[in-house]
Amino acid sequence: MTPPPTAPTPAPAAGPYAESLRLFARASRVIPGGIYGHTSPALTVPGEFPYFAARAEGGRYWDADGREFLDFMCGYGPIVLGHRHPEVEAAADKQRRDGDCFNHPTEAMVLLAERLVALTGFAGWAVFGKNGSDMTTWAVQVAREFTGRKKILRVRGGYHGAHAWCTPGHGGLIPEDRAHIHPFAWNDLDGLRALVGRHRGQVAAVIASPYHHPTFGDSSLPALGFWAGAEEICRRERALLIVDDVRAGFRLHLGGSHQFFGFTPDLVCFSKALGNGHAISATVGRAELKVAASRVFLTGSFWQGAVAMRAALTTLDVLERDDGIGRMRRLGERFAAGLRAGAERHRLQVSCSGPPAIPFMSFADDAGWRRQRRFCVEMARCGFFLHPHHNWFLCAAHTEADIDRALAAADGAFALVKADGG
Amino acid sequence: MKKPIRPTVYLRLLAGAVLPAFREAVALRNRAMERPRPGLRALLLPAARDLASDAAARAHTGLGFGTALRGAVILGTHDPASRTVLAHTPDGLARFQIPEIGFDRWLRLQAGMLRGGRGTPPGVAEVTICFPHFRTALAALRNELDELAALGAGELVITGSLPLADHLNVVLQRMADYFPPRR
Repeated sequence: MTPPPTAPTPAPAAGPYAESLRLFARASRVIPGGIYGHTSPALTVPGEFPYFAARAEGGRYWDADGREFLDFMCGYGPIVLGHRHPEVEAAADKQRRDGDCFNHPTEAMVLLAERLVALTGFAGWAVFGKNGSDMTTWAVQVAREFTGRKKILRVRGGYHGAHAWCTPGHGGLIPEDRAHIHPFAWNDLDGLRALVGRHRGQVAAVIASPYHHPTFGDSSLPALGFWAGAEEICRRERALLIVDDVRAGFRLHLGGSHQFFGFTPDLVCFSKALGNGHAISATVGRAELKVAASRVFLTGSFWQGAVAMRAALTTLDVLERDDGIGRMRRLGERFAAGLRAGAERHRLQVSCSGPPAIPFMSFADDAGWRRQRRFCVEMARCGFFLHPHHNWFLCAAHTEADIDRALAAADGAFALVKADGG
Repeated sequence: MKKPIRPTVYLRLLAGAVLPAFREAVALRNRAMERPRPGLRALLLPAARDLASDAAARAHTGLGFGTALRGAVILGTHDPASRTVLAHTPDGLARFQIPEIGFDRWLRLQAGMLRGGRGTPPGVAEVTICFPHFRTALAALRNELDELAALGAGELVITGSLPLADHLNVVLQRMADYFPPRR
């Protein structure tokens, strides 16, 4: 049999990311995609960013080549207090010594549910999983169970996880997966109203992130009146309002981003920052939904793991005690102001978007993201990990000095962008 | 998952994408040092054994990609599955390059409609899809390429709007539902 045509064997890896590339070559032989999902190098600038990490501490991490980076992605969000936060890790270690995966949940689950119910303001109960997708999919089922309806309205381009009803991927889907999922444009209340009108009496829920944070796009905060309007539409239609707070939760407000933006949802999904890097997710909901929630089967072998729950309890305590959210906001404001000033010095037009703790910057008139990629590649070369196409994350372990160092490096990166034709 | 194919779209693809490529292939065969196997299927959907020589593989890569890009325009107009994908695709101009064989073409999506052409694109491309080695492009054409792995290894270079490239790729892959590659 003639062997199929194959790509040529790549040249031996060299340069600053040689070990990353060597590992990737091995990974590509035994793992589809080499690295899959949101950490795929395909989503950054391949060859110009690290592919594999080795260790981390506070606001920094070291890649497989031993290069140090100031971490402005924070594991794509979970690291909110800093990598290996001593108090969080002490609580996790203590629980680990006692055990993690039992035949039963532990007291930690009750404590964490009580804590989240108290914090979120509107909720009467909480449940737990391991990832955001676990929770958004389950919340959609709860809405269908409660309302007896099929339709789910979601924001076009919003991200709610990797399950068939919402994945941004294309493979393995059948048309029926999304037969009852209907998109509307972010901040478009008229569009939402029209969609609800088209499916009157059939809408189980509207699901959206508290603000719009598309990949390959600027972040967009809710327009004045958007959330109040969405809430009113849902109440009138007797549909549920689900907030996917997986990405923003615990960076804008300790009790959930709905409190930051001033509205009352029916269900909120959390994950990422809740455990400061320990795998945990949660959904909280209105008391009236508790019976419906109890009827929607929810489980996973590791979903009641006590270590992540102890880590989450401590994360919430430390965030509250140290005003971590205020700290991230102040650092983010300093960062955004510095980036704007730096760009202006080089006569470059940039847009700084998103809440300060979850910032993003992009260049004006940047077809193909060329300036953006140039900027972020140069920042990575200088030891600052800023993703070119995905919003960034700050953590409470970052310092003013870190921000100032990043801004000094940004000055050089802006100069290069300008020299390349601005 | 394979989506249903429509006979009318098949005929349009045959007339608008496959036959022009066949004409190119015949012209190429008349000039080629090493002659590819005759016949429409052998020229456009060759078996692996027919691609062992560089000359045949190069010829097939150019023809195959040209056919796929022409086909994408037809699919974008007439194929419901492709139109659904394009309805959720950001507008923009995509450039496709295989430098080793001098392949340089573009697709432009504007208001849900696809247009395409050869050579320098009519504007700044939002995304450039470049196969530095034609064998990688050939593997992609034959649905034998792990694209994410190729991107990470630099064997496939996408510069710019990945969502545009990703969605156009779904339409390009749709060609294989109508004209499955031979194993």
